[in-house]
Amino acid sequence: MTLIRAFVFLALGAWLSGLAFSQNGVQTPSESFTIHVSGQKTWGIQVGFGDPTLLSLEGLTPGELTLAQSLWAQIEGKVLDFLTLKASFNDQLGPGFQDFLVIVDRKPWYAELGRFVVGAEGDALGVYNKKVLGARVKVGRENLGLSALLARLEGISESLVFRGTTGHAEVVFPYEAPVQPWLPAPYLTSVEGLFFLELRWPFVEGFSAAALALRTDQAFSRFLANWGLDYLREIAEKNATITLASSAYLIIEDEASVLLLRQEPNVLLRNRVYELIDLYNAAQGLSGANKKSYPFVEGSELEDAFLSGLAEFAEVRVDQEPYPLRDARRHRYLGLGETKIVEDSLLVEVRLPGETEFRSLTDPALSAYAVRLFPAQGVLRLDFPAEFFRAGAALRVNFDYTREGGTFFLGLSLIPGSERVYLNGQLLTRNTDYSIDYEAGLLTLFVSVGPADEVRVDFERQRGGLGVPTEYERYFLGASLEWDQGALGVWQAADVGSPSPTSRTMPNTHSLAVFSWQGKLGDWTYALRLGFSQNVFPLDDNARLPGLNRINAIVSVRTADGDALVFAHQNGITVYRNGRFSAYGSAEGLAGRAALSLLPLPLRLLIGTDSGLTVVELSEPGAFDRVRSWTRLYPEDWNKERPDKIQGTRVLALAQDGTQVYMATEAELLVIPISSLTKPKDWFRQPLPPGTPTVLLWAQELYLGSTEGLFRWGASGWERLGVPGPVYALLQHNRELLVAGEEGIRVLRDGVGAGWLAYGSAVWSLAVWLDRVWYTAPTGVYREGEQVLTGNFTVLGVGMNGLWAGTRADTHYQLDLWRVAPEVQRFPQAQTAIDGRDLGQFSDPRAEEHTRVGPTASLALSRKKDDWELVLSFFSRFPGYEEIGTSSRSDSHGLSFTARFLGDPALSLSLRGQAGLADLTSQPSLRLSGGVEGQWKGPFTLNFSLSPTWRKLAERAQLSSDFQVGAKAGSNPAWNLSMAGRFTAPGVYLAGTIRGELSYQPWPDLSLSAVWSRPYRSEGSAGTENLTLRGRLVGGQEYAWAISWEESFSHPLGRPEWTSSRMVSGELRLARLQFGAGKLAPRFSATATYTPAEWRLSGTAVTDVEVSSHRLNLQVTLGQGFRPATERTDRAFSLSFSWFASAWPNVEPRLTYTRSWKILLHPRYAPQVSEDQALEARVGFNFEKGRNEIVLSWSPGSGLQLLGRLRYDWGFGPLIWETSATWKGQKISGKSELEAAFTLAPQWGLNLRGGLLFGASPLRAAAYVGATLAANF
Amino acid sequence: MRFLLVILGIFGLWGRGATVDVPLDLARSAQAWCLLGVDLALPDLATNPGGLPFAASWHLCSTFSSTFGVVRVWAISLSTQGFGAEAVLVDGGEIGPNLHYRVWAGRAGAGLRLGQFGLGGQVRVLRPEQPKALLGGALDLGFFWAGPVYVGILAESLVSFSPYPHEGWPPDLSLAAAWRGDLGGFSGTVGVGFMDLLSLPAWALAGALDFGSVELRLGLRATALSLGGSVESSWFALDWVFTLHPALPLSFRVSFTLR
Repeated sequence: MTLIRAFVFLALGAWLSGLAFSQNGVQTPSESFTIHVSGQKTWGIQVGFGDPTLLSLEGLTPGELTLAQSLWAQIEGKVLDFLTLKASFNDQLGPGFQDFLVIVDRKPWYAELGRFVVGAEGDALGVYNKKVLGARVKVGRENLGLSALLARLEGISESLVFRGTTGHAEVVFPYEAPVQPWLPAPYLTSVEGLFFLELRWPFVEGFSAAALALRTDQAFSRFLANWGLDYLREIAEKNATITLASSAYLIIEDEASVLLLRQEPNVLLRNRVYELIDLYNAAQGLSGANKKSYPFVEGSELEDAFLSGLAEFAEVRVDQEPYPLRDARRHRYLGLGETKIVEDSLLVEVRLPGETEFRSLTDPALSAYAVRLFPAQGVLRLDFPAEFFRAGAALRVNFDYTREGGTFFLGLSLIPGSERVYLNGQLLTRNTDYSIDYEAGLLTLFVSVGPADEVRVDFERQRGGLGVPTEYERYFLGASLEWDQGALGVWQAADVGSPSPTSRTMPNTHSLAVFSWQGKLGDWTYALRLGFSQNVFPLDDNARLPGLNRINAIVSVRTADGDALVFAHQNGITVYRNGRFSAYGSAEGLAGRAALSLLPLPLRLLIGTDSGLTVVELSEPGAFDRVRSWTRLYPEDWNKERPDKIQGTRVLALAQDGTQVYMATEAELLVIPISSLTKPKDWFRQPLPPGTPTVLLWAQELYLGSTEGLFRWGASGWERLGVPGPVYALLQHNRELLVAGEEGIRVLRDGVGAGWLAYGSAVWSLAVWLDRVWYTAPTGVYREGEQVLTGNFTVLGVGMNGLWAGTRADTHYQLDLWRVAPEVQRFPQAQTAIDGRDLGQFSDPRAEEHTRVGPTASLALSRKKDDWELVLSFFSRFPGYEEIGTSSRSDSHGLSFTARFLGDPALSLSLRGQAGLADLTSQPSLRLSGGVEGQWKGPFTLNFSLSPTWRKLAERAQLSSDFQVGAKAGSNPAWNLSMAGRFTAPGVYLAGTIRGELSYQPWPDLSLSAVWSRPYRSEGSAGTENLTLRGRLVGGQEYAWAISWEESFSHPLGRPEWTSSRMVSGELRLARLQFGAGKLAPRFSATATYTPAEWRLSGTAVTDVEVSSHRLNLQVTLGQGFRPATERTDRAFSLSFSWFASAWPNVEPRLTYTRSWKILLHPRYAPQVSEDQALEARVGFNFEKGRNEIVLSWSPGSGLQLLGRLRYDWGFGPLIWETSATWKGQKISGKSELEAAFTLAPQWGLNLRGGLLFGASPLRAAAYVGATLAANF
Repeated sequence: MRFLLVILGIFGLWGRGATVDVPLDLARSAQAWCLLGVDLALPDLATNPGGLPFAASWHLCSTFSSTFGVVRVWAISLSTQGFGAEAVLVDGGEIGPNLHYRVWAGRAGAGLRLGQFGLGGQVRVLRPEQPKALLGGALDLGFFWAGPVYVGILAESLVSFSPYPHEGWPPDLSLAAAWRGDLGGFSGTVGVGFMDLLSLPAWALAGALDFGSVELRLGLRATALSLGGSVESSWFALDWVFTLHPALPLSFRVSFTLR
């Protein structure tokens, strides 16, 4: 920032206007150049010494040179009369914010190179205003034109619509997580809703507060000790209660005050334990490896048990009233994520468990389902039957919410200049009607937007970076040929690149050809258009196929809690214990994504993964769920402190002989003493035999199976045994070595072949159960030749009194586990929660199955006859036809006509009709529509429109018609009466609004108005009827006064009672009073408002006093409000005083002081008084070559601040000395900086600066110096 | 990790392997970046010490780039007839908890002209400052022939000691040829280059068309297409380049040259 300030200063001090120069060309000396280049280049250097914390405020590190450069430039000009160059660069911004365009315009040629906008290339682009980087060439001769384009698409088109001051949202609340349905939905969007507590006393804003407390009694100490956290006892007792942040909960006024938890109770408690551990570490001064850490794997069964126990000691306290956390319930309130919901806009749909479609809440089958909205807080109360809250249930809520201000957030990284902003269809102009920050994506409108206005913003967002994440770069190319009445265009937008193994999407290629012809046929003008598009891997159908997960290994381990079975698969491991399956992956401690091999050791488990080795200590209860049980050893850890580097990364096979572990990677065999499992510097490297290792077995000797065969490790190295590869499994049984391979199971005795146990089919794995050999083959599980199970089994394992088998997922990503013996039992995916997808590798789907092709054709005929203009059109568009840049795939065929009457200026009338078929290939629907609209201008203006539509979809036909009729007239009185709505049949439904407005000004000082609106709806709640009356009376001669009155009445239709709110305000400005040499100008204002929720009175008195050259301003404000619902009263009083004098030459003193008090009163609570004050004294001294300004300010919150700024122009440039000091909370800090600017030459400036920084308590200081050289051009 | 991706990404654009002299390659000027290595055969640029004796005038070129806001490269180079030098700072900021990446690099070279031939040598120095202070260097030899075509050959790291104990700084060889002459009535340059022949061989084609104060450039190699240009005044020049890659995001850099 300081450098930027220096640059700005230099720019102001030594700015030169843009350089314009002219010189002769190299090859064509007779032709001129005009290139305008303007900009600035700077080089900066800074260095600081002293306290690092103080220097970090200046972006400096002690003793380290900080170098900076910046450049911005604008270039525009013409070369040789046909070459135009436009460029704009700023090297502080990314590539998306640089502009560069070269235009060659020499007839018949026209070319553009650089960044330009496309969108008018025939009918190829569905979205206009695409910013691209590339080249475009056009050549034209007589009636023939040819153009070509090759460009890289810079952004992705988006369009956002904002309706006036409202935004629209759709939220779906499922029961299960959408992508992983075996997991519950995220807390805030779960249909189970927020946990809530009903409060026994009203929650009074400003008085009440919520806190989370732990009951730290003896039982709590025992609980901590049982979980090994007794070190937290003392710190928990000292910090037993913490105030909940207001963002952690919501309060709504239902039958009583209700507190809704925005965080799940388990998360609240987990965070509380994290905080206590942090406090303990800070209190004990622990750091690095000595720091205590959260001991549980988040989300694990063990953590769940711990937090459930902790919840017994936790309570939410509201005004000291305790509410046990375990009493919090769900299934009633949903948070919509927005506040200030527009009640009439709410649309709730329900998906019942077991169904696939959503039903509207008005469905007769849902008569037991009711909702109630709390619009201010954005909370929806559900009164649903308890049986609804089950797997498969979901709720979809559509609603509008009130936005505030004229700023619209469009998202980050917009492409500069790509936006088009429309207000009610009218295009707005940048910097006149709006401004836009492309990096931050903020649009600010300068025009006011009414509640009914529509703001539409079309724009492009950068591909990549902070914009839209993309896996491929996208190019757009094509050519068009135009002649006389016809044109032919061929275009293609294509993603470039090949998918990586982990790419989730396929590259898209969208090609399109359009032919058009137009001409005259008798009195008719015609236009014919034919098009064809092919879209390979369109954006909504480009997902790559995840690999199929598979069980790679099954072992049994003994833990402190008893036996457990471990299943290794492509997404981690799954542990089966106590009848439950739990999943562990890289987030929990696995050194890789896929678990490839397992090796159980006494109270330890080794897991070989695709990128390292994991050791799990099993000696503690709940070992898998404790963070400290897991040790990750990645290849970079293997190589620490090793002179010879281990080459492999994937742990393919593991074995052990009681003292050593053998670990085969793709590059070598590692021999690991069991005592040095986590000390890789003690590991030994050995070479591998030919092939990639597949299996290791220790059976008095070490055997290794690979893709090339079977090998035995001996004194002279690896010895090949007579078994060809690949070898899939090894097993020692009854002194025989069984080798599973491509041909079956070979039996070796003492290394010599002794027959086949199975022959003729590949065998993947082997196991012995009850002294019999079991194996898996491609067709199923076998017991010594007898098929026991059919299926795609991959591996067998023995444990927990049974023989287990794992499978490979089928093409529907279903993956099961089986207990094969003693009884066959299937464990489906719903029980094991093992994802059937292998998310580490994806394969390409077939392009022909993900390609959409389709044609389109249209013919338009038009002519004029007498007073009528007639247009006829025929069109057909198949669903595969898509324009480049859009995702719309409408399938429509039909004809239409439009007739306009042009014969009478006072009457406008148009008739239109259309008959069409839509979705011909999927769900054919017939649609007939028509319309008549007109306007008649006489003594008053009459508008009318009627647009009936008849649709038939499958066996259902529906008639609907929008209609509107209205009349308006006059200026005083002025009135407007309208009725608009929609009619649908069958199931006759009529809805709309009748609206009337009247405004009248009986004499100039009095204006009156009334606005009335009444909705109507033949079924359901119609809405709210509103009537607003306004009056304003102004008067006065030497003084001025005004009184305003507004009375609003509203009532929901169906309920007889009206609610009213009113506001009365008045203002009085007295004439200026003269007294001696002074003048006094007092003014007063007062406002009274009444709404059902709050009554409020406020008044302000302001006086401006001028005496000689002194000006005083005094302001007093009083206010009182009352909220009947909570019986809370607030009173506010504020004073402000300011003085300014111009009595002394070259001295400008100014003093400002404000003070305010606020008192909250409630019958049940003690009064709460808060106050605030601020003082600022400022003196400015002007002298011949400069100015000095001293500012002293104070407020209780920010302490005392002193700022002095001296600016002196010493001829070469300005000298600025700025000193500041702050005293806050017994701490003082300050900064003094001297900055000098020199103009070295017409284009050159130098800025030198140096500063001192200091702070007290503790005492510290730092200094820095820097220089910036700037070239302006 | 993000830092490494950026580094690899940049070298994907440039088409070279990421070796220990990455910081020096990151600092290449916009003009050299656009020509994709063919600049070895151009006397105006300091990339080949053998071409230094053929430089027409002195140049002081400065380049700054901030790739994705992650890696900031600060470079200034000076070249005059027979002599060239460059200073580079690559600052990756904090790339991990309490882990910074900051490397200084320098280059100094000199050349002699023997008729149409030029022979030069340069020393490149790498001084990683963070995360660990280290020092390394390499000696390169350059050859230049200014005949009907320009030919430049650069033998890199003939003698070298890598700053990183377990990573070598192996020798490499690059060569390029360029022709300057009349192209459609304008002064133009076209050339071809073969880089890193001993490690990751790559080819490049490049061309430039000079319209007097404005020059437009184009470079092409298997993995990148670069579009660039320059405008010149009597005392400075601005060079810029956009580099397109089939799979990596667009990159951009701009240089300011005094002369």
